[in-house]
Amino acid sequence: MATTVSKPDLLVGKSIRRREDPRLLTGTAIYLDDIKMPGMHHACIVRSPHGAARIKSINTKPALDRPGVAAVFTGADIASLGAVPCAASLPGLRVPHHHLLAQDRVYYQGHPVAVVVATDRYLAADAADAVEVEYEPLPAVTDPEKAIAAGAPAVHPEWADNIAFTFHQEGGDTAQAFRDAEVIVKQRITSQRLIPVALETRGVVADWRPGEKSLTLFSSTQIPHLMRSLVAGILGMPENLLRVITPEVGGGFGSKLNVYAEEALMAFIAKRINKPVKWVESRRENFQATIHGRGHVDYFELAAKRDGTMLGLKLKLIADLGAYHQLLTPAIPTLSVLMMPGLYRFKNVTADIVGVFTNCVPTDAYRGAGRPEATHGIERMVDMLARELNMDPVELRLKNFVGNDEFPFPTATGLSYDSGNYAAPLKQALAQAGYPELRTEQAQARKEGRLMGIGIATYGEICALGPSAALPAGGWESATVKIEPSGKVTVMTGASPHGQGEETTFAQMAADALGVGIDDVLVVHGDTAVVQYGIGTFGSRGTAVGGAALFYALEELKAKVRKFGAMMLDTDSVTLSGGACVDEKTGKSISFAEVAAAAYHAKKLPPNTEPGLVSTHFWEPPNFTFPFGAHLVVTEVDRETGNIEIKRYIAVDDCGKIINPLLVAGQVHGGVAQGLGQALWEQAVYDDTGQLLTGELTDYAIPKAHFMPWIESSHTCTPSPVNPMGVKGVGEAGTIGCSPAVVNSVVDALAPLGVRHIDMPLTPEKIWKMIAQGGQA
Amino acid sequence: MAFDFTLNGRKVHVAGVPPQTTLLDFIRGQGLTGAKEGCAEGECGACTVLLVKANGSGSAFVPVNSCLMFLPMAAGQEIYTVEALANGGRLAECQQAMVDQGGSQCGYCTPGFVVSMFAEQYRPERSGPCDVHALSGNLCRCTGYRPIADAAATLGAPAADRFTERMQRPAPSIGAVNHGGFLRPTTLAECFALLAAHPGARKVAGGTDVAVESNLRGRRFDALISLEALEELRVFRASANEIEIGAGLTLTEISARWTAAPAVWHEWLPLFASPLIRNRATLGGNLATASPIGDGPPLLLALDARVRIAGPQGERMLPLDQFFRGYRQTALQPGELLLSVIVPEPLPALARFYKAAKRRMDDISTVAACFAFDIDDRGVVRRARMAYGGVAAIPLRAVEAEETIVGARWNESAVHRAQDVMERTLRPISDHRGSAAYRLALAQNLLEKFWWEQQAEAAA
Repeated sequence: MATTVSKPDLLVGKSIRRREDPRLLTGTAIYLDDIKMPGMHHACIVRSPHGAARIKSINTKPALDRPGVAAVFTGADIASLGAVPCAASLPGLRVPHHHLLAQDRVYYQGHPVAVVVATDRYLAADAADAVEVEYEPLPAVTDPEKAIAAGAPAVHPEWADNIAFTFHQEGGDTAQAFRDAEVIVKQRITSQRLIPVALETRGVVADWRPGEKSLTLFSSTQIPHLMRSLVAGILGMPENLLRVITPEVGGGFGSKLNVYAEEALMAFIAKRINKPVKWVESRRENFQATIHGRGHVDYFELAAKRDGTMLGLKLKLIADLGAYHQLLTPAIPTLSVLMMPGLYRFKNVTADIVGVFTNCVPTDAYRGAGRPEATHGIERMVDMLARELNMDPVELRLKNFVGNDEFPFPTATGLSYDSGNYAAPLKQALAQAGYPELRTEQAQARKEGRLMGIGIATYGEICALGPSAALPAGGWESATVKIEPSGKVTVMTGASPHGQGEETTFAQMAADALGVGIDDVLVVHGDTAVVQYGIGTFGSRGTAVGGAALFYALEELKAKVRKFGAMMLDTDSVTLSGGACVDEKTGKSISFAEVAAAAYHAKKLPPNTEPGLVSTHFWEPPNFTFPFGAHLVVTEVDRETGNIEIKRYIAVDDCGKIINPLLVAGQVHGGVAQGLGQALWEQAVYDDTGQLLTGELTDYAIPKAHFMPWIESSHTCTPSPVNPMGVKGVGEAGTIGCSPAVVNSVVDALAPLGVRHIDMPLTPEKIWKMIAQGGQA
Repeated sequence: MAFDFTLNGRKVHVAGVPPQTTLLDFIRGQGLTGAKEGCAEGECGACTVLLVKANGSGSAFVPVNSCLMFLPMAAGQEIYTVEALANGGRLAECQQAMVDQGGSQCGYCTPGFVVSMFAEQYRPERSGPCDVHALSGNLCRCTGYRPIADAAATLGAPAADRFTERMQRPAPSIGAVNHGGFLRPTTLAECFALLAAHPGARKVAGGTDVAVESNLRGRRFDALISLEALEELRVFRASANEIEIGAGLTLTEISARWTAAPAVWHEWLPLFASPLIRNRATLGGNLATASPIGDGPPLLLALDARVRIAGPQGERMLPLDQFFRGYRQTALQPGELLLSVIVPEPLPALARFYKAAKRRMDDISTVAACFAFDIDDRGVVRRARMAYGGVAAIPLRAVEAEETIVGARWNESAVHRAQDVMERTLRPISDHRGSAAYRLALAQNLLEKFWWEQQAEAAA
């Protein structure tokens, strides 16, 4: 046993190749739609073609008469089941009962009305077309501002004003700040409705086992454990008889941070027909019936001194909630309020939210969830103030940033910013861009009549969601580490990654902590029968909360391994390194596998020590983390067509310590791509009757490969004191920093025409009109 | 009622499968679940597979959307999926490049990208690193594409392996199919007989339009008559006076054959559609669907193309501007086929294609325009063609605007005269892709852009 081992290099901080990749690249990974079961049936959902209508009658017989059809279910069949859950609670929140299937009315296009179950996917789809639903179309309202105007049709007849809630938050003395102001800038700023477009749509397989009275639900979700609790609640079944398994999940971006009607419906149907049943959403359904994001109309007012000192900020936020509350719908705009001060030293803020029902699919968390709206608003306002004061937007930002010596910084919205050096990424971006030279180039371009813009946005975001006090179902995360009798290591995380790469980063952490090779570590997630309860992956929390739970679980387990190692090496100072326990004094070592075997065989135990090598840690974060950064974008606008060309894109992000630079780069690039999508092309458009006009990928333009600018990405590093690894989270940063930087740049390009603000998306038509009309919107 | 095809080197026998089943669903049902459905309309490329197609005396691997192929279209074909690319435990070079660059996150789009990248690496005419445009038919929502593009950029010529060896041998030829209402004749005579026997039948070539109707709108056809095996539709003849392009050639095939294609063709091609679509979509199909916003008609109208139409009674020829009769209506009579498109020589000396859309490339156009001019030594316009999509219910030429400048000097005032005429004569529609005013302005401004670009080129 006594071999000398050399201390291996640590893996944390290195661009370790993703361990998930081989199965993904060879097409052998198992996603929801790849699951097949004997006797499995297929469900197809009949959905409302109307934005608002009364259901006069439903005739299921023509569908039942078609080949292969096993059953058809309508609202009457599920009326006694629980509702689609909303976990967010706000004072006075109006919560419409969200039945799994429509009862007498439909409230949005895509509202589920009936479910057809057949032996084959095509037969189910054809039979769904045969269900006869007679509708009486009703007036609809799809614009949140029109919905709260007098005389608007009521989305829910019981609430004529369409107001789901109002919410007021105030910090400091905003009224005084506005009295003291020498300049006040006001602007209406929208963050349009967006469609998340995870490449894999939603899907469910439900498998009822009558002998065990148990149900296994396979779901493409970000939150398997919450799904289990909530679906069990809807069905009224014991939670421990429901098992939720997430196979490989093909992207979520918040759209799978939810419990939808379909999960409970399939569970119900599998039990009723006593057969496994699968439902996979079509892309069109995904557009109509999976949550959308954003949908804000924000009225900002910014008060400042002539010297640029920003005094106060007011926000009236009109939030388009859609027809119902999904899991977190009403909570999303409150996140915007929390982050509305941005990186600035505001003492006085006031926000009023009006949450509005519309005849549209509900909005909920989509990459950024409330923070992009806030950042877009404040960063646009700061640029407008700079213009008003004839100050450089960089100078104005630097003047108002929270200083490095002010952390932890209490914000006027009640948060405590953990750590920061807000000028650092901005200065790095400016240096990289050659800012003064760019401004010279711009002056020359303007002389030539060309429309060149330089846009800067700095952002702060709230990540590592979050302390349990702030989240309805708890904000902690869990990890279990097991050293198996052979010495192999299994990590089980309650976070449920779906593309972020924690199978790699968590293996890096475990390998470093235990001194084993990364190939000896397996990371398991997404099965409620295997993994201890967890919260899930969203809000840039996977590593910042789930990783911290793992850190402590590893610490606890290391202590136990050391005890066994010390006993076996007959020493009192043991380190774990190179796949072995090493006696620090003598250099003697004993292999990890031998220690593990001893712990399980338990022939001899250290004092006060139980057999086995397993530890579980539930970690409650003491605070959020607050990453930040600066994005700088150079654009040029074509006068004839309104086309925007992005000439340079510089992103400097500070997400604290980095565990795997390769994966962080992927998050930044991907985040920026979604931000660009919002800034330039994407918008969910409903007409006044509730028809979704952008109902297909051909009409809802997401970015393509050859359209992405070259992103010059770099980092500054300000560790977070909130967790032991110093990480902050990076999943949403790119999206948050991108859209205001792009819009600031294009507004800057059009400034010679007098343009002061443009709402997203910056479509060529919109820009062309502004140019054609001499800068008027 | 049954047929065979080759899947990853093995013969597959198909019987009793409904004809509108997609190739994608079928191969997934065989346990090959690497190809995935992301949209069922040829937009996302998650379903990409390889067809082995003829390339000279050998073969090439052609990536296509398997969601847009009805299963019987696979009859006689040789098909490879992502599962076949790795050799035992060793990843293919493009797969390893994706690992090294971090090109995969959630992984759902990944097999599609891998297949497209593989096809590009093994594409016979390719030189230099893989071009990101080869991946424009594949959508990713996670990575922002950069690591995927980086992976593609590392790929040089493929090493000799079983795939390069396969490329030395001929591709399979496809024959007749009669599978549950899916009929694939091999001669024109058979085709006319089938069209007469099935008056309600839908003609289908590459299927990039028809399959979308089936997948997304649930259209079920009494009969589908495939034109893919008709050699008469696959002619390509270049003579001194004209070029005849078979209506059944895919856009990719036309590009390969039309070695003397004008610059405007190469400008048009990437704007038209992604390689995955171009590998299946035919020129005939693009004209025969007669979409008012199709990209083919403006190009061919500007090139003064004619169409050759064949029916049981014989052939007739029609100028393309008489082919479009109304919204998605053509001059084709029931029982008739579009045989070929004839482009007269000499081609106009100056031609450019423009497309205005949200994303510009392979997106649905708001307005598409093609301008084709001949200008003599004195700067006088001898021929002017201004053809548009998206400005009316049918693709059309702005004939009055053309007439105002023929015989006049080509200068800024000519541009303005033509724009004034357009103001009076073009009547575009408004929809969520663009308002009537914007479309009209685009039609006018694109002409101006054309003029300015020429001035800039002349100056340079």
